[in-house]
Amino acid sequence: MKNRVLVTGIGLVTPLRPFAGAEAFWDAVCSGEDAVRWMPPPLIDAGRKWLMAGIDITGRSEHVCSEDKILFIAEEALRMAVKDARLPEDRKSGLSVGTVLGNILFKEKRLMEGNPHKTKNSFSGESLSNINSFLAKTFNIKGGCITISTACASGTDAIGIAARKISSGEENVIVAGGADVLSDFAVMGFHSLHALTEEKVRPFDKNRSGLALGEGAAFMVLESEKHAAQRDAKIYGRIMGYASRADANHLTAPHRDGRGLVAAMSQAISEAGIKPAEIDYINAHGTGTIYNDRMETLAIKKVFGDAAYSVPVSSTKSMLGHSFGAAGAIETICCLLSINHKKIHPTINYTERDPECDLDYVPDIARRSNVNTAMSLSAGFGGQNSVIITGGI
Amino acid sequence: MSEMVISGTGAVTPVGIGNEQLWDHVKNGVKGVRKTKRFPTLNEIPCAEITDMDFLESIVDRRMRRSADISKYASAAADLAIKDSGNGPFSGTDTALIMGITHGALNYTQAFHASLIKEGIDAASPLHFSDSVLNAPAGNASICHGVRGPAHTILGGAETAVKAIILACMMLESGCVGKAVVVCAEELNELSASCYLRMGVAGLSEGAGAIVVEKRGTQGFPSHHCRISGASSMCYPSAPETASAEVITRCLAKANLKARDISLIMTDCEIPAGLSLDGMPAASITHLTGNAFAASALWQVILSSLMIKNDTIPGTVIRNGGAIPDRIRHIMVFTSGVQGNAAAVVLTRE
Repeated sequence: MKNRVLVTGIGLVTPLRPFAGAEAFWDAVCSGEDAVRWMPPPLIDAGRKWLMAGIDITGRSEHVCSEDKILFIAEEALRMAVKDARLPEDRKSGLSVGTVLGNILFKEKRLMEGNPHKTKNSFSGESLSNINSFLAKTFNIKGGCITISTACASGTDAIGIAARKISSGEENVIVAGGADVLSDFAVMGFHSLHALTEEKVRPFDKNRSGLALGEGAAFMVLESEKHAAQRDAKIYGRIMGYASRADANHLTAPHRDGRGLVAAMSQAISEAGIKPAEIDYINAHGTGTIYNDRMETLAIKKVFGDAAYSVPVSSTKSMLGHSFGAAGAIETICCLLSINHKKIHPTINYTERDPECDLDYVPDIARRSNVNTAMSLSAGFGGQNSVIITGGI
Repeated sequence: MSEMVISGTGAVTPVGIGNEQLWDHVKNGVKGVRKTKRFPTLNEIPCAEITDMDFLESIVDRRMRRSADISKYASAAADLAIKDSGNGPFSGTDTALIMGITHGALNYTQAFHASLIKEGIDAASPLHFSDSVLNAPAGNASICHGVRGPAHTILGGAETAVKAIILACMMLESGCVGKAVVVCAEELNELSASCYLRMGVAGLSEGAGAIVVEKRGTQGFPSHHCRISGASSMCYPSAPETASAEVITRCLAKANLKARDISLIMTDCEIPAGLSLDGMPAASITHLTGNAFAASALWQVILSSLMIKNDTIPGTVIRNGGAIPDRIRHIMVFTSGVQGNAAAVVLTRE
């Protein structure tokens, strides 16, 4: 990054202690709490349940309907981040939001009711950039706003692109992150791909059998070093490097050798101006599918060489499930919290070593570790691979 | 940004596919919007459709033969732009693909839900799911052309086209890639057509546009279309008029230009007052091509680059009585939306 980009506020709403703040979330993941439960899909009467990690918003707001859920949790997470950063009310900042499915629940309700032709009022809420516009209006944001969709790497790319904008001097402050909620489209879609586990989410375990879907929202306030210094902001860390690379291989399957992830890791490390061995912790994409975890392990080995065996790797998704566009933002926040607390959260449900996944996955128990530099990996449909490197000050 | 050039353009529109056909048909005022019975539940409505599907089948990668139309349009437009730039190869990690979409592959989304309702949970098609995901057109286009740099999708209205150009320029300036293909695409769909009709918006359209953006001097041959001399975007839902005025002001400042330097404004929107743009000639091709949102905005950019290259403004696109200059120097493409989004880009003759 040309100019330093600092993180001065964080906020997240996840299935674990959803509205209790970042520290409570961190306690939960470091305790290895499992948010994944048997749940029905939001709308369709499927006559069965799937393992998912949901956020209960009952009683939080009388105005909240299920379609509004994404707006509600995104607003809560963004409010937390802005409050944490102690940004002034009259702010001129940008907004960068990552989402995979956005407010598809609005459209989905119409489709599932078999009533595709409805009023214009509901349609305006279906606009794909509606989350961004809603947040910009709610927080009176005036600046460059972008809604980015790079499948399950959306949250990572929203933060990475925001960091680039600040680094280039285009903006001084950007609130960046991601949000997605459970929908029938996602549940049935992943069901059709046979990607959902019928058991526990066990990333990197020999007996892993698939992923569990989740939901959430996470945002962080990014600032230029000068702007943060002028207002004496609290600093969580900095964005040291970011890269995104495509596999150009298959729409839903990762490249077997992880070529896109290797390229993204290498580029991000180069941009950070460090060597692979200087990375103290990797927050993996770690979905729990056979192919992803094997590919990710292979890619880490290709980039890190022998050092791959000494760097701790853990999966937040083992506890939260896969929250699509929010995942990358949540996991980048985990990296920052690792740096601040000098602690790494575990990969839970890990019981049996897979010969093809033979790295240190921090099984089941959190670990004290002198983390100064951390790397978050994300991958997704369309052959997306994105990597963010965060560091202490 | 002053170092960025458009070195190739490709258009898949209802009034013409490819630069030459688009230019000829626009000059002759060929209209793509006509009454169609494409959607049985909507009776006859005015829409602009892509009809030359044989062309698409021949130009698009065979692996994409079952892909959603939006992915085919996007890949075909990218192919045309890449060929027009003549500066291959575009495969590998040195190229970015930035996609702008407004509604996405709604036909497959609709089909996915229809099969769920009619046939049950085990009948849903994995193809309808994966091709409905919002970044599927970008993913398919990156696979089709072997693009292994960043493949990003930006969501939003017409302003998304300019945001995609800005993101491409930012990537090029940072040095993380050497070339960028900006694509915007849309497909006609019953759901969006019916809702827009209720909102009083007729003449929806489909297709895609693509441009190749490179740093000046890096392209292998000298004949690029024009330079991107300035661009700006802003979201300010509390005061949309302020957003419009500020993006134009900032865009001019970045291009180091005064309002009077602009030869033509390509826009479908009201031009903000008080910016010395009164009486400026304004133009648009939307009445010919129909409205495909982000794709339409990129078609405006493509036509602007062709106007600069040919030093001609077709009379069929002029919207007002502003005096046409003898020589085209700078064209501004400006968009603004109801949610407080506005964006502008200035293209300049070298």
